[in-house]
Amino acid sequence: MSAKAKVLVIDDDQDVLTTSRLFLQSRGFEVLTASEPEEGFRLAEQGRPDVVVLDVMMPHGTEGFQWVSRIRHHADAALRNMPVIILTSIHTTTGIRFREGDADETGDYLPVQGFLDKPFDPDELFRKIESILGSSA
Amino acid sequence: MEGSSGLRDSSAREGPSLSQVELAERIRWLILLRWFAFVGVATTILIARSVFVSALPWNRLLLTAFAIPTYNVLFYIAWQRANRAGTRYLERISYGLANAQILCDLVMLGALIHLSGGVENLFCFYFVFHMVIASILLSARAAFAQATVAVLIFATIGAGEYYGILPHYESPIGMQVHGLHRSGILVFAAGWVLASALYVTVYLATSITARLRWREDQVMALSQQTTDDAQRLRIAYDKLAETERAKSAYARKVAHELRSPLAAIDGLLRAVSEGLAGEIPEQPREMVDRARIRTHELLDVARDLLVLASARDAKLSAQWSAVDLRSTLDDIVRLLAPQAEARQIRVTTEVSSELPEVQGDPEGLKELLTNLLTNAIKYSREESVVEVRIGHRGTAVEIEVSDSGIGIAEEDQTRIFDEFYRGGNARAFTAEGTGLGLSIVHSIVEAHGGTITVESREGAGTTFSIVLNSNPSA
Repeated sequence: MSAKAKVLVIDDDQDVLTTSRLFLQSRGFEVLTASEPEEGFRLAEQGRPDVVVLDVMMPHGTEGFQWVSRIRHHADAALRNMPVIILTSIHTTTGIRFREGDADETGDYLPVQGFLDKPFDPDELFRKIESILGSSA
Repeated sequence: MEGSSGLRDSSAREGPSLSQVELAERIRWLILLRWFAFVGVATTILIARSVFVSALPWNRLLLTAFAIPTYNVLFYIAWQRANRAGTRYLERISYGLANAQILCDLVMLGALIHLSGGVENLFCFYFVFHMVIASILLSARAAFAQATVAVLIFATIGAGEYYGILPHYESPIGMQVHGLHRSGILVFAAGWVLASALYVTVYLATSITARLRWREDQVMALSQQTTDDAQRLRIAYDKLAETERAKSAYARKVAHELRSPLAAIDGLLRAVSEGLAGEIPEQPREMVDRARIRTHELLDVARDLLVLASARDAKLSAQWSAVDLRSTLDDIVRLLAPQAEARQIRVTTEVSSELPEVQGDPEGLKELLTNLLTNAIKYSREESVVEVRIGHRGTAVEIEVSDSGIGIAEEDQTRIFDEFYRGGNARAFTAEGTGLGLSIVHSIVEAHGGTITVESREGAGTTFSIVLNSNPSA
């Protein structure tokens, strides 16, 4: 694992942010947290995290969808290609909007690098981040 | 009488009495019958005229006979118009129409008898037919009144011919008692015999008809009651289904709302337990760990409730596809291997070759096998064997999960699929368990149109047998 890889966690649940921060820090990550999508976007632009962990369902609806859409259309290529792990169980029931892997040609799906069902096991999150960082290293 | 049942059915919904509707229909039958009667009368007259050299007024007889189709046409028109005017109007006039028809028939029969031998004519007993018809169509009182009319007509003929007011025509097929019409005592005797025959006929026929009508009314009342009961049951079922849906939606909502805070609680407790928020002494740590165990129990209930609600709502069907049970089972056995190994339980699987894929919900079927296998492992004694067999017979796929564990008491076997129910020995064996696992299994089997049975003996083990159709839509 790259030393002090930076993870940005965006979730409107403060407790999820706290525990994620504590666990990821305990495993050697530098952690940025945001409880609002806008704040998360700003942190992504300024902090340049290696991985973003993003909750889909936020107070105003499925803002996570818009967040991924925005980042995937960002002018900055580094941000455009930033790995995103989605925290949701929605993808298992709708199967739309997100797809694990690269951008598809039709543009119907937003590419993300992983899904985690909420509530998630911190160990699983850790393994997921590790595998993403390992494959992109 | 065809079509009467249709009339009866529609009227039963609108409410009028059965007998009225039936009467309206039988009037049509009576009109039809009269055409045959006319043909019979006319043919008889024509044959008699050619066979017997008698002084009967054949032309007048024929003319009288032709009165039958004439008034029958009028009755037919009246019936048609009443029919077009609607059921209610038809019902209102049908009783009068029936009375009028029978009355006309009696007068016509009287005229024909008079012209063909009077009281000596054996056809006078044809009055009996009219009495039977009157008894069927009319009330007992009206039928007796019609019998009285018949007797009066016969008496008029007898008296008229006896006193010479009416001419007498010798009948070629009469009672062969020529001059009977001139003997007062014989005329009276003939009248008495006929009158008693008519009244007895009416009495017998009305009694039988009344009995039959009563029975028919009973059957109709029962039928109506059954229809009403079925309707009430349907409403009750719909309400129950609605309540079930509401309950399911509520359970799903509650479970969903519970999961996030419970997961957050677990995360926070874990952070405390692992010292991520600062070192804590051993005893508080143990208490936090116990709190985590209880939180996990709640998370399990919330998760099971969500799965159960999904299975009940048949939402699973939206995601149906061909499921390979062999690989699903392999995955589950691999997943549960640590649990089994921890208690030295051996899990054996036997899957028939050429097992067809099952059209179903992959997640649901996985859940089904996981729950059955988890239960089998959980309630087995250490160092025992759990067997899973999946075979097929035609399109029927048979799944069997057997253990030699604690078994299920006979009195518990009917309730094991109830939500939150756990058998007494299961609770005693382990505290762990939401009591929802078998409810989920049952709901998934139902959603797939399959069946599930259990065979168990307390202390000896349990076998769950499931039969699924590999292609339910076929």
